[in-house]
Amino acid sequence: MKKTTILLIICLLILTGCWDQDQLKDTRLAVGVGYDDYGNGELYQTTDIRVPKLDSSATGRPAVTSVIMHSTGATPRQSRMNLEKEVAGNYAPNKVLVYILGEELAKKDIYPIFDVLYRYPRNSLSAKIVVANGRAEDLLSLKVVEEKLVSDALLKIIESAENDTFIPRVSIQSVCPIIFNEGQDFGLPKIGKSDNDALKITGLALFNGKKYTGIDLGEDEASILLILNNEESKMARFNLKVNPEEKRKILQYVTVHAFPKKHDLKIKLSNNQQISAEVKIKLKVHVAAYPKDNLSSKKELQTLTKKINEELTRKAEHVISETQRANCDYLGIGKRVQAYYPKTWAKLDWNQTYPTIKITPKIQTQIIETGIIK
Amino acid sequence: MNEKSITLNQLFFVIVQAQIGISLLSIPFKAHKYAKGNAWISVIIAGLIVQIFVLIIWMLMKRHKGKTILEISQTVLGKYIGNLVNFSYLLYGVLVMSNVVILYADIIERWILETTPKTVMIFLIIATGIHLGKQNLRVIARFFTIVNVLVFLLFVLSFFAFSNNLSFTNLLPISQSSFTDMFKGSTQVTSALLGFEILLFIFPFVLGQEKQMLKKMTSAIATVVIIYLYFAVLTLATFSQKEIAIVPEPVLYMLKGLNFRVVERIDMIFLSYWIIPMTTSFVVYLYIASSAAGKMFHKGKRKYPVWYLSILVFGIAYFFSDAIQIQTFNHYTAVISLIFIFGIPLFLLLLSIIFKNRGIRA
Amino acid sequence: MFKKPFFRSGHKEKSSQQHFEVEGQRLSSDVQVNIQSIIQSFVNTGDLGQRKIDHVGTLMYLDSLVDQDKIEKSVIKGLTLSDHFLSDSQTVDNLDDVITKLLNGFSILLRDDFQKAYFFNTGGFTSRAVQEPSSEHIIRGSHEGFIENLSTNIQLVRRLVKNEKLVVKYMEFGERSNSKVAIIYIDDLINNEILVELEYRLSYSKVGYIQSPGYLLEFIEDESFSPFPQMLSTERPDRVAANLMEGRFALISEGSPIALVAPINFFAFFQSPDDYNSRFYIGSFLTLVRLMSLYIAMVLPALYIAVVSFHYEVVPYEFMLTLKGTLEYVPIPPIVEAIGMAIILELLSEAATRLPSPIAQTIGVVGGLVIGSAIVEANLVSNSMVIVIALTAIASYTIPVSEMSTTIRLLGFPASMAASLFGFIGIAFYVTLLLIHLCKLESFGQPYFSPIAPLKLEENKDTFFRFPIWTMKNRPSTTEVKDVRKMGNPRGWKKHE
Repeated sequence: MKKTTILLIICLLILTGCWDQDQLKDTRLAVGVGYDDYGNGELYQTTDIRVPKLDSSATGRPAVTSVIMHSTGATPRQSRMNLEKEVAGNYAPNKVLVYILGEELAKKDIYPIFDVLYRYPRNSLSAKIVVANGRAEDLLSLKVVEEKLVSDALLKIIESAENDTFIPRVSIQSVCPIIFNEGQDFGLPKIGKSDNDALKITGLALFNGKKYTGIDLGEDEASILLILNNEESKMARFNLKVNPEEKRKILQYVTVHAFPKKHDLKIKLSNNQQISAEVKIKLKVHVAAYPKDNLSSKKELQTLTKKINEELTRKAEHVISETQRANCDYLGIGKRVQAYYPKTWAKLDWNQTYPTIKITPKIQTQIIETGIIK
Repeated sequence: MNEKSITLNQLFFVIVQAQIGISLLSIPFKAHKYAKGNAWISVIIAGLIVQIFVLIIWMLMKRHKGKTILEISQTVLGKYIGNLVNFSYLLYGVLVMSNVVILYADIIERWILETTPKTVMIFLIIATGIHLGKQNLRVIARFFTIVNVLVFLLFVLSFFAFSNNLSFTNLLPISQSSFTDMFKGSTQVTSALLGFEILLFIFPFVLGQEKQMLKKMTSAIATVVIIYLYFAVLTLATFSQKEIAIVPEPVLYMLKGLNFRVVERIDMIFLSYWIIPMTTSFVVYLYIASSAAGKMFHKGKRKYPVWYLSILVFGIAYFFSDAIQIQTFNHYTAVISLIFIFGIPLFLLLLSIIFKNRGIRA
Repeated sequence: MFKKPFFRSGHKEKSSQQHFEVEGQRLSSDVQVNIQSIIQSFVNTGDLGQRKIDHVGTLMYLDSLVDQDKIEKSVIKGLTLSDHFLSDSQTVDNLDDVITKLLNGFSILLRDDFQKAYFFNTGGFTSRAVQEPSSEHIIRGSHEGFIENLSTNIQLVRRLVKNEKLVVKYMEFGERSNSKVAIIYIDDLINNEILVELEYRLSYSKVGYIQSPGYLLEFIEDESFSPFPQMLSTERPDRVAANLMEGRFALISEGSPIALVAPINFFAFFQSPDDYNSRFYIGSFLTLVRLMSLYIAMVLPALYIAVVSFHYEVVPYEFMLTLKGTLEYVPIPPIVEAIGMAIILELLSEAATRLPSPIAQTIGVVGGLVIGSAIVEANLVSNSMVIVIALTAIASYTIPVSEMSTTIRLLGFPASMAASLFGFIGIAFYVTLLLIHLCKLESFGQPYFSPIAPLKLEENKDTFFRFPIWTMKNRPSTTEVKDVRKMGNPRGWKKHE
């Protein structure tokens, strides 16, 4: 009797079962999604979908190719629903590698676009997010870049740039807490088409709150910003113009690899409620190329160190003034004010205050290696 | 009684596992509603409050050696009122059981199986619960002990969260919420610490002296509070203030963003296995309710009540489906449980002190 | 329908009653009467030999069970040459005992005017030589295995445990076959409660014929419907001896090379004598590998199904593309694929077991190459599924006790089913149920899942890792042995260096 009931229940489960089944083989995987705003109020979605090639069955592993599809809708979800009607198979955006925002779209509030990603459990929060230099559609329409399908290529470019400390490690997940935090802002990598019809990271797009400010940092500057925010990966590379007096251009520069050593951000509140911040950075530096001279003596090393320090600090000052111009509190100074001086914070309008405060960067380096020659 | 005794170490694990369950996943969320960034202080306060409750329970049990609350109530209050109290514990067990099942089915539905009917999920949960609940205490204790591996696993996973940008400044300043807010927050955490009331029912079956038991109980509560504190701090540092206010399961959400070379979406794998600790919370209350029912109607045997109480819970859980209902139900359950973990034991303790253990009649 | 068993049970009662009357019949003083009653008892069987020896009496024996040489050389020679031969011999005085002796290969001498019968051991059984058991190969260590002869088997154990406290208790089961079963234990180690429990359970084992120890096992094990074996069946004397030393008992029956050991725990099925004959790193590594293979064999297909039909987002993008590629043109759902492949695997292994070894190799070729590659090329089963099932099979075969390995593979089916219904959640529920079951299971009153549940940390030195032998100074507490201490301090010399 007991067994019959159990059997019946099992049969019931099996026969009615698999409500949530979502067969991998029936999916149409979206891997790159771009959103644009063409000013008509509709969201224009460009999607890079992976499909198996037509006549590649029976090989065990069919080749995949990319199909670019367009759809529109008032919300991302609506445009997705419109897309689903066209796609042969189950449209699956849960493995998207990269989201691209068109420049115009990014200048408006971006949170509404991401709402669905945060709300729906199956979306991948580790997807990268970038701002297109121009329109997202143009980037995805390249379809194949350097013999790689466009989204894959994009991901590789982003990852290698992250490893070289050109851009911060940003994903949907990591952006979310910052979007919600009044005392901190973020930046997204900006990617454009290069002259070779390939993709290229052009810099870091600075955001204020949920909006793109339109101000970018160049690659070198972005690296400095990351170092100031203690965000560098293993190392950062810089080309520094330490000898402007030289005539030949090649002799003006030194190339260094910088490794983080110490990071210190201090907030001060003066008696008249003026906020100032000081960022002290210590770096270990390998000299990778110094065409001008050799570095055998201690004195030469000291002069070079001094020059590097000056050059880096100068650049840092410039970077900080840029962020203040963009009103992008990338370093999270507001967050610290909130934590340490809550009373002052309550009285402040941080958006008004940030551009006016004084931030002094100080970068000190120590040359610890000059390669295998002196 | 047909229960077998358990060891002191098993007592420790039973208490830990009875408390840890579904609520660990949402630990700072509820407290954050009131205490903001100070939610972690609320956790500590809640730990202290619970420790006081445990002390009361311990003093009560020490006065009446070898008896469960079901027998104490009868000794102190007489047969009829005692039975009334026992019956209320039965109802309480059923209520919390239903609450656990509802939350549990809800979290699975929201996170993993969206379209699977809740009835099926509830059925599976209850079936698993019955399978464990009908066993004797010793088997339950053995199972509770091994389940702690999963808590350890969660710890290991949480280490990877340190690769996120953690900003511990989120915990500051301490003045961001008033003490009353922190206290309100801690009442929320207290409901996450529920489950230790199983002590009222298993105390006589533990092999050991009262003092050792108090030590084990305290260390169990402390362990759970430390675990909660750790996750509260970690999630508060991971998410910003405004974000945590809209994320009901911060721990899961934190895992969702983690990425490894070979496995992604750790949250899903983890939540699947976390149903085991969630089952244990269900079984705790099944044990409580079925002991009460068994004591009153079946001469101490839990065999039948386990079945019909579960069917009753299935019925109750079936009716609660939408999010608002679930929240209300959860809220009232938390309030009511205070009576049972704190009110009744304290009342009985006072009475037994006044009447010197002999009960009202004497 | 219902009458038949009724009738049969009645019949049985009757026959057992008859049996009872025969019992205790004493021998008469008339030789011919005795001979006739013996012949009658054996229902005129053809192999009942008789030999009349002048001036002495009649010698009776079962042709098929005795060694003619022994009769000639010792019995007849002794009878004719020595006068004291008979007075030194043992006797029995009732018919029932005579029959038992005859059945055990003894010769019976009946004399005129003598109400007793002499018996002489003239048994001549042929038995196989002691060789390594084919189901439990090991690399390093003893290569002896039990054979079908009970006394040889006991001898093998006694050679390893030279201890006067090693007790062998004979019992007979089967009212019609009188199979001899030996219970072996070490008296000053085993907990008496276990023995009492064993004898109590065995007292119910009243059947006509015990074909193999498997019969007894099913009669006395704790949970008949549990998928897990609750007694360890082994053909290795060293394994039996090791278990006796931990306070367990062994059951060996005549005619079978299998010893049943109980009370046993789950993890004993994953240990091999090899582990203790190699360095402890190797032993630990192998134990760990085996426990991992337990997990693989049970849930790998289920995990795969859950991934490809529910949660493909858990695998990284590139890997997922590969999976998707292999699946793209397979028409059947993964659960059917998995169960189909698993059944094919079982078919192959079953076919290979039954066939003589030269043909069995052909099965390997047919199975591995032909079915494996053809089935993929025909797009019936995906490449990845073939890999998964192959891994599952290999993993399950690493478990040293074949019974457990089959159990584990069998347990994989419901896991796959659960995964195809609810994905990871289904697997988790299934694992929960299994864990609860394991916690509940007991073998002769001792927890089966020990030392994990109940958790005994200090006894886990032999569960996931094999710690150096000298660290395991105590016997496991789960068998509640009388003498807990296993060894002193074998590496004490280190201090005095």
